[in-house]
Amino acid sequence: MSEPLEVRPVSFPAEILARIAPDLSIQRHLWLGLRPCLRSFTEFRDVSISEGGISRPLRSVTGATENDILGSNVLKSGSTIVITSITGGMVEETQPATGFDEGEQELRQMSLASDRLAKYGAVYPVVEVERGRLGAPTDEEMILSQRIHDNIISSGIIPKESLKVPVGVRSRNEDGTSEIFYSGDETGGADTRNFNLKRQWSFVLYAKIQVFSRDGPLFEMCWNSLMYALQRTLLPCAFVDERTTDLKIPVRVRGRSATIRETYDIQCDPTEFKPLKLNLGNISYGSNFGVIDLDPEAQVRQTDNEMEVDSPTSVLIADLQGEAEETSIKSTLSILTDGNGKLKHLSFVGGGAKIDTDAIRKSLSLSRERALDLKSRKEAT
Amino acid sequence: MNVADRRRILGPLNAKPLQFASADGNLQDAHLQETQSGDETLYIQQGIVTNANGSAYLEIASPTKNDQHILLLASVYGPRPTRGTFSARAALSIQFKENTLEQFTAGEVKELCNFLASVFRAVINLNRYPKSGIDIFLNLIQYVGPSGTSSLEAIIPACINAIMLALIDAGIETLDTVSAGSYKGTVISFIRNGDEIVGFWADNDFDNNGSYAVTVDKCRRHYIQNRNAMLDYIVKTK
Amino acid sequence: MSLSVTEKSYLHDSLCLDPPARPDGRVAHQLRPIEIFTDFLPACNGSAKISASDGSECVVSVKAKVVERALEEELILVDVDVAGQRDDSPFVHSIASLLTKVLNQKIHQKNLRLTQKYAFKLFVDVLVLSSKSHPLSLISFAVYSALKATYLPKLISSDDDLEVAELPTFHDYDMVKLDVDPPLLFTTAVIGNNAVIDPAHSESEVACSGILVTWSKGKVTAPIRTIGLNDEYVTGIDVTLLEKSIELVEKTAPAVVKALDGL
Repeated sequence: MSEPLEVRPVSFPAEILARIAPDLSIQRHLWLGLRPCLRSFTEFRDVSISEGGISRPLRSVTGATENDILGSNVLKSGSTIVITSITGGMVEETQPATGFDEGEQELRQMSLASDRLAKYGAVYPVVEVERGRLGAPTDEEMILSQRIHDNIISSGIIPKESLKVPVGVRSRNEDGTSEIFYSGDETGGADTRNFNLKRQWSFVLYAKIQVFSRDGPLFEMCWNSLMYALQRTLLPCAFVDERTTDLKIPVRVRGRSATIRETYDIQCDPTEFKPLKLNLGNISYGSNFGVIDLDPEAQVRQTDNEMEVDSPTSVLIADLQGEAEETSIKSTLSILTDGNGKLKHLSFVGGGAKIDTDAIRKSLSLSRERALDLKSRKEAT
Repeated sequence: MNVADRRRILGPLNAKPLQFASADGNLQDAHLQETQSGDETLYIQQGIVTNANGSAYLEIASPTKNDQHILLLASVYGPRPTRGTFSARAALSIQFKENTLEQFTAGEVKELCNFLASVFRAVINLNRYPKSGIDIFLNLIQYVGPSGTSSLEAIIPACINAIMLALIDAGIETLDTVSAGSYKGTVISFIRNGDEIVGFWADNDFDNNGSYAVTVDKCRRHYIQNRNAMLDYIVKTK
Repeated sequence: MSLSVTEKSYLHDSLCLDPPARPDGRVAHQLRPIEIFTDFLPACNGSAKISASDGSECVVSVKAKVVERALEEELILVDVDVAGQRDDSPFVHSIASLLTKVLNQKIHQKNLRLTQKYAFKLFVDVLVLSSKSHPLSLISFAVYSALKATYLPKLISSDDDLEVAELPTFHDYDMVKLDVDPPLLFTTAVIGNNAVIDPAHSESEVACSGILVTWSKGKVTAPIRTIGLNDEYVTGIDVTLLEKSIELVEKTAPAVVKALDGL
C-alpha cells in the first residue's frame, strides 16, 4: 500500500532564500519597508576615509628609497575597501621646432580655446577588483577604468597647467655641496638667467585602484576614493644638473657618423613637494540609486482580508549593496555632483522599472546632500 | 608589462617613471640595522574580505623604528571544485601581489610563491579535499623596511602567518598551526612546537653571524612568539 | 612515467632504511654519473652540454656584451628554458631568478670589469632539453663548466677611460679566459631519517622535502632553501636533517668541483 502523498510547504531561512531566490527575498524585504542589508530605502552606507600614509611626500623623512607614490587614499564603505594610490611619470612636451613663431602661436591659442579637452589633464586609472581569480582584467574592471578616465577629463578637474613640471637647476658649489635653484625662488634671483631650458616636461598621473570585498556597484566608490586621493596628491619638484643644461655630447657610432646626444637627466627632488592644483569647483562625488517595482504578489499580508492600501508601485533605493539588490534592480541612476547643484555626470539605465521624474528629482537632491557630506569628510581629515 | 596591452588604460607611451635623486645618506642609516626579532607589534583582523572563504589582515610594526612596517592581506578562496580530470588531492596555488608600490621583481615574486606553496603543501591536509582547488592570494598593501637583497626575507614570516590565519578563517584543515621566525636574514618555518621544519630560506650566510644551531634556535624563539600571538588572538575572538 | 601508489610506498620504505636503499644502488652521498662537453657552440663565448644517466640533458651558452658600468646593476643575466614547461611558468621563472641572483652574488663584478667605464655583461642561456628530476643542480653544473670555458675578447685600448669619450677596442682574434669561480647548487632529498644527494625522479616523488644547498669558494653558503619536490609526500622534517643535508654536500662538493675543474 502506498502512503498517501502529503504536500508540505517548504520554508527556508532568510539567508538561504536570499541565495536561491534573490528577487523574491528583496520583494519581501521591501514590503516590510526594509532592504536586505537592513537599511531604509534612501539610507547610504557610512564611509570612512583615511590617507593611508603610503605616499612618499608625506613620509619623506623615512628615506623609503623606492617609494614613488604621490597621493593615496583608503576608503571603506560597509565591508568594501578601496585603496587608491597615485603614482607619476614624466613626459616631454613637444615644442615648436624653430623658436617662437607668432602666427603659429596664435593659431594654437585659437584651436585650444575651442578644444576644452586639451585644457585638462587626465589620470590613467587601473581598477583591480579582487575576486580570487587570475587573468586579464574583467569587463567590469575595464569599464570602470574607462569611465573614471573619461570623467576626469570631461569634469575638468586637473588643469594642464598644474601638471607642468617645475624644473630647477642643481649647481655644485666649490666645497662639494649642491644647491638647487627654482625659477620662482628669490634666492636664486641671480641665477634665473641660467634658466634658458628649451624643453618642458609634464607629469603623467597614474592611479591604481584596488577593491576588496566587492559588494555592489563600484564606480562611485572608486571615483570618490580617487577624488580624495587627488586632493591629497603632492607633486615633486624636479631639477637638471647645471652642467647638463646645455650639454651636447658627441657620440661616435661605429666610427662613421657622428651624432649629437643631449643628456637632460631630469631628477625629482626627494624633499621638495608642491600640492597638485585642482579646479576645486569641479570636484564631484558620486552616488548611485536604483528603482524597483514592487511586486504585489510578494507582499506578506497579515490577514487575507486586509485591503490593499494605495501603496506606491515602485521605490527608489539609494547606494545599492549586495547580490540581491544588484541582480534584481535593473533600473539604475549614477550621479556625480559637487554638492552645490552642479552636475558632472549622469547616467540612467532603464531596465525593468520605469524611472519617473519623481525618482530623478529625489535622487538628484539626495545625491547633492550626499556630496556635501562626502566633501565635509575631506575637510575633516 | 605588455606594451600592446589594450585592456588597461596605460597613458602616453613616451612617459618615463619619476627618478628621485637620492636623499642624503644619513636618512638611510636606520635601515641598515637588522631588526631585532621579537620586538614588534602585531595587529590581526580576520574575515576582512567578505567574498573570500577566509581572509586575514596583518599589520606588523616595529615600535623602535616606527617607519618599519608591513601591511598584508591574505585571502583564501576554496576549496572550490576544479574542472577536468579527477585528482585525489586539492590543488594549491599561491599568488602574491603588491598593491601600491612594486618593489620586488617578477622573478622574486615567483620564487616567493613557489616557496610558500611548498610550505603549505606540507601543512594543509590536501587529502581531505579531492577534486578541489584552494587558491590563496596575498596582497602586500604596504611594506616599508630595509630594501635591497634582504627585503624578501623580511616579509616571508608575515606571509606565512597571514596565510595561516586566513586558512583558519576559511576552516581549511591543517596539520598544525604553522608559523615562521626569522633571524638575520634566515627564515625558518616550523610546525610541531619547533621540532619540525617545513620551510627554510637563507639568502645570507649564517656562518658570519653564528652557527646553524644558533640561527635555528633564534628562529624557533621568534616562531613560538608569533604562533602564540596568533593562537591568543584566535582563542580570544572565537 | 608516474609511479603507482604501491610502488611509491615501496620506494619510500626502502629509502627510509638505514642506510637508505636507493633504487639505482647509489650510496647517500653519491651523484649520478654525468657527461659534460664544453665549447661546442662556435658562436658563443662559452658553452657546455651536460647529460645525466637518466637521460636528462641541458645545454648552456654564455654570450658577452660590453655595457656601461654605471647603467647596469647586474652583470650576469640568466635565462632558462625548460622543454615542456611554459616560459612564464612559476617553476621556470623562479629557477632563472634564483640563478641570476646567486651568480651575481657570488661572482665579483671586478672579474667582469673591462675599463673604468665599461664592463662585460654575460648572458647565460640555459636550455633544459629533457629532465625528469629537479633540474637545478644539473643546470648549475652546466653553468659552472660553461663559465669556466668562457673566453672573452682581449682588450687592447687603455683601461683608464674615465675622462675619454672612447669605446674599448679589442684584439682581432686573441681571447682571454674568463677567470671566475661560479657557485654550484646541490639538491638533496630528505626521506624519513635519511638525506640523499642528487635525487633521481623516483626518489623525488617520495621525498618528504627537498633542500637546495649552495657551494661556493670551498664552503657551504647561502642561499639554502627548502624546495617542494612533489605534492604527496611533503611533510615537515626534523631540524637535524637539514644539518645532515648540509654535511652531505660538504662531503661531496669538493670532489665534484675537482671533477668539473679537470675538464
